Amino acid sequence: MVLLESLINGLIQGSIFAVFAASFTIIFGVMDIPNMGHAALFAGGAYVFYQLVNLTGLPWIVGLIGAVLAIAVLGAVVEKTLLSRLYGRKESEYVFGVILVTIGLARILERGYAQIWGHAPKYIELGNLQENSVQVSGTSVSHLELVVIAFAVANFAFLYWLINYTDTGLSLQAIVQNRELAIMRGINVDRVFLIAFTLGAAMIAAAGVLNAAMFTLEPTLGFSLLIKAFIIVILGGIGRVMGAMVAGYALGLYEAFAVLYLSSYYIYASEFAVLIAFFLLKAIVLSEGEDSLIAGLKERATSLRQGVAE
Amino acid sequence: MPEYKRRSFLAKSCAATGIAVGLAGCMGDSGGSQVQLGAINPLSGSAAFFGELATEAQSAWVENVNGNGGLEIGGETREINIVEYDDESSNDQARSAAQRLTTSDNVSMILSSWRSNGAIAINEIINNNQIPTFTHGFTPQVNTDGTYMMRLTVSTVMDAYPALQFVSDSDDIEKIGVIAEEGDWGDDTLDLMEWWFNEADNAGDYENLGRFSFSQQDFSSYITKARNSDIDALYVQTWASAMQRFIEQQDSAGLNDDMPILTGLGGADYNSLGEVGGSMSNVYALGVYTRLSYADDDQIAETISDEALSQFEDYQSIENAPDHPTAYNVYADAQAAEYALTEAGSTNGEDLREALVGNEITTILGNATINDRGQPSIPGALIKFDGSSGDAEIDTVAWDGQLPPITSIPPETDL
Repeated sequence: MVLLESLINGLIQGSIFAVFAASFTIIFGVMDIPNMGHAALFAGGAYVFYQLVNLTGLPWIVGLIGAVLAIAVLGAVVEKTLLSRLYGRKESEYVFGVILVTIGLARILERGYAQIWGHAPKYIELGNLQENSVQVSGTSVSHLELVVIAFAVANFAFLYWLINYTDTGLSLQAIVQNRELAIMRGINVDRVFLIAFTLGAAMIAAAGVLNAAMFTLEPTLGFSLLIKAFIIVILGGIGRVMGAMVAGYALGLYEAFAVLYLSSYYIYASEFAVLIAFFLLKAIVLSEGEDSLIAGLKERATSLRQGVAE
Repeated sequence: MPEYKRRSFLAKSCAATGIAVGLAGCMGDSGGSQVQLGAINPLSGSAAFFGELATEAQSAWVENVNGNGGLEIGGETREINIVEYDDESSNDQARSAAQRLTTSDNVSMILSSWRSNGAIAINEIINNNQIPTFTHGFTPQVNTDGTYMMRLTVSTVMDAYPALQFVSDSDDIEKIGVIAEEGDWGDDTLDLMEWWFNEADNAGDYENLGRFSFSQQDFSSYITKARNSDIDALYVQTWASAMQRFIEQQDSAGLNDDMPILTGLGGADYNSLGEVGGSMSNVYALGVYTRLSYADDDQIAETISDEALSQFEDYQSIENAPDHPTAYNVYADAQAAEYALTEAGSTNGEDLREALVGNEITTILGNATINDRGQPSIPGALIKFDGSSGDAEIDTVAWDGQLPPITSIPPETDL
């Protein structure tokens, strides 16, 4: 029973991690810079929903669509008015500019949420999804938790289609793999940047609504997830959406089972230990110009087998 | 509220521009017969919710005192003025605010500082300058002999005391599970458990079921672990929004149907008890200031002295006095400052400390006595809640009495 409960807990937590990290890595992969304001957009989606549904009384589906649209527009405005002006700058100015602008934006948004809606935690209702539940082998799973898992699956199915079967997705991939080559082949980088930021913002808004419905809504909602997103994105591969999905679920399941045996201090420490080991392994195994650790390990293993055979 | 000046922003503006005239403005109104008191409140950052309540409660106190003509101090009637700084929920800002209050603003007392780390950050400054300071940090690390750091809140090691009393007296609970925050407070809670059950040989036992961070969103794994452990009750040590998240989630998972949920100060200090009301069934919470929110309940009223109830009625009649347990605590600190100023007949820090230590002080929280280490003995109650109506209502008072001023494990005070 405890293992089944932990598995369900891990799948639900992993769904949140994976969707958060996937939206984060789309922007990270394309722009080469992490969006430090991502958690604030996550909370923003939830606050828009709270305003539309809890305070204004609109149906929750309208609130969800409104939250996604509002944060997508906010993301687009931020990209066009603040970040796009930094693209032509020299690298150090671009890197620090984007990081500082997005950190500043996060602080302003967090303060703004507190001013408008207060610091106290808010509860948001998503129809009757929180109240109703189903039994899975004797374990109760709320409808909301099923929706969270379904949303994550649908989200990744959509992203898989977008990235692999549309021109926009192929452009995104091209920029992630080799920006210079993508420009040479005529891809409109400015347009792809805008699409990536808007798409990432829209996804994170929906995830923010679901997360707030699961737990509570506060101005700092999502800041603890930002650190986990770095771990997931690096382990899954920067810019690799499906890598974020696998790493996100792996982290969620690991935390759900690890808590049965370890205190949170050791859980977090072990997550960062894996990250450090990952970087060390990359430094040891990969040669200059190589990026994929798995490909590098396969190549070294093949060479080793050939050496032994000879 | 003309006497009440929030000057954090102004002070920063002055520092940034270096305008001499502005700087003079920042130095405040030091003339006349006004008594200058300080406040370091978190008006932004993670603890801002509490900081804003503190500002409102202190404003209410200032308006009340000055509206009645001021305080009688050493034969002279003097109005009070509070100089407030925003510590931005940060230790550096708290330290810098304490430095300004004690050296530039020349305050006689500091009515509030927040968070355990915030208390540690300013401890040296307020002691060196001999400025009695009330803290809402819970750490016993500032409870040293002769300290100027005072509190009317419980220390971290007092937090679980009523729940442990209840467990040891109970016939139904043999073993409790414990989940606690990472950090000093959680360490202190577990140290107290270890001492209580294993060294002091009280009835019962405990099992550490894990630690979590204050920002923990999802408690489902901890709830799963508790449900599958061989325990009769679960003690949870955290506070504010983290406690709210836990209470809500354990209720959704039905853990409170299986066992009582015991909480310490955190349980009594929700940001908004109304928000978690329906989730409070079979939840026990220590009430020190929360009791006042339920003062109209007969069982709770019996745990509060008549004098404290009378003072609380006066508090409620003050316009704009916030209706929140944290605000009651802040207001009680201000009442203790009022007692010290009038009793000492002086605004000298050493005299004020002498008036505060060892004397029984009556505030809206009841009768408290602060010891030489700055820790009070203060009345409290372990309240069992019922949330079946959708609101947090009083079920029973499981324990009540004077909480002893514990500041170390093993306790240096007689329990």
